[in-house]
Amino acid sequence: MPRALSGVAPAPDTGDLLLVAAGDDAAIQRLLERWRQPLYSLFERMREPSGAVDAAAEVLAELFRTASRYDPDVLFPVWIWGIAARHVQKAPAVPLTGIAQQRLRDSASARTALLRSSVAALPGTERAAFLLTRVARLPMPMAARAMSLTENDLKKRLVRAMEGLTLSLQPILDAPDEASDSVPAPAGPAAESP
Amino acid sequence: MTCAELRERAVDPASALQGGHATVLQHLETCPDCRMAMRSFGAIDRLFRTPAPLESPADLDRRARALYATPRPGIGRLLKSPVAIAILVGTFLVVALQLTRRAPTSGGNPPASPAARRTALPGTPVPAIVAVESTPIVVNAVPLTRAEEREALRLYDFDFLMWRETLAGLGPFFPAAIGPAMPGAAAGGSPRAGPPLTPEDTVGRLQEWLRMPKAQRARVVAANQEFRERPEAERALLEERWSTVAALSEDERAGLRRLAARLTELDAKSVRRLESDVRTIGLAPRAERPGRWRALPFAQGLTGQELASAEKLLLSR
Repeated sequence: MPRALSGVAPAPDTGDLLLVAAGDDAAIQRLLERWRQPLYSLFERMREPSGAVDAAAEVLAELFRTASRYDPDVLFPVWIWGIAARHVQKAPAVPLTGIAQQRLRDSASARTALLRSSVAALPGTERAAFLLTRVARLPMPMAARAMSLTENDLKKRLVRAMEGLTLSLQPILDAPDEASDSVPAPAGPAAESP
Repeated sequence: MTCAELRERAVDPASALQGGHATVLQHLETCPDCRMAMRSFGAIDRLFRTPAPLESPADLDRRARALYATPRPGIGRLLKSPVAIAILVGTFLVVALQLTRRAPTSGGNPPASPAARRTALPGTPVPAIVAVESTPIVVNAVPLTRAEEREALRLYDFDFLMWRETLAGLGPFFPAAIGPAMPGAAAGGSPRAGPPLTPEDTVGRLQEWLRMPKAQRARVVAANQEFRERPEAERALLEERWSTVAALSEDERAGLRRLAARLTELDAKSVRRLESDVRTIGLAPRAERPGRWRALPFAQGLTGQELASAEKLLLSR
């Protein structure tokens, strides 16, 4: 693993991305293992599983392609979630899918489809703001840097996203919670300290 | 504390560490909208809390590696492709053709090209813009005669004309007691429904007329004549409704068409009841309108698209 001139070893993700830039295949595999699930979890909230796999793969491929341009002074999570946010934002908003109330009551997959459709129906920036903070669970300052926004702008967009989702998810918001062992969504490997 | 300030604070988990909770509680005690919003935000967070596991990690890894390994086409590779070369040559020819059709500049008032003379109305300067967003330019069609141009430019908006019957049928969703006329609707024809006014709209209209088959032109002219024969109050009402509907997406408008068809199946008593219900919903706070609308008996049999389209109308005031 490369060492900075100060003698301090770079954090694992940063170090591995620098190695990818140098052509190290094992570093690619390590980054895949650490980041495939968090990226997939993000996109799975707006797409079917196969579409989420494709989107996560595109983000990872772009991460590897741009490895030579990575500035180690930028926090790795800001870098990778920034790439993910751009992919989220460029997808056009899709009209909300209509699902009958009875079906929503009876079918978990119908409710999942409504969740995905609601997120996909949001404007791009609001969608990214919601996914980065509520699914990837990034702290506000980090999410704002990833999206190149001020924190105030990010909060405004997030509020609009939540208000939009309140409307589109009305059919299921008042339903009793499904019994679930709620596990907080992982935000990826712990944010590195520079 | 305003509603916006409270909501922006609520969406930031780090705000729990800040002081000033008393003002938050004070606002919530007096603002039912924000209380409802806080409940909804919390419910949304719970819905999105649990991630789905990635079922085939190897597939994702393979896809990522394959995308990474696929070289992105640079300009050199593009120029080796026969298809790319054909596209470039074709583009060059179209640009060259456009340039040769433009009027030569020679100081003072340059003479207009034959194409410009045919499409310019007497006393109207030739518009500088000859392409309007997605409206394609017809290069080789027979130019319009002056009579055809005059006919095209006096017609109401074509979409509006095709929608006039549907707009008339959506009456229950535009009850008179809800709100004043939409802002921007001018007397004697709203900008959206009426004949073109700006040079860009004029060019777009003429291009659309040029492309339109003669049979369809005849239908549009007949629709325009029928509309002009309606009472003035009725025309103004339909134009006002169009100023709302025209702003909707294609999908939402499709939902409204089906909604209008459903309304024709109701008896007079049911229509009056629906109109009364919609009027009442329109007086409620905006956040409550979707829920109240979806609770109506009429709404129970509708598709998701019909529900969403009507909801858009109810929220447009």
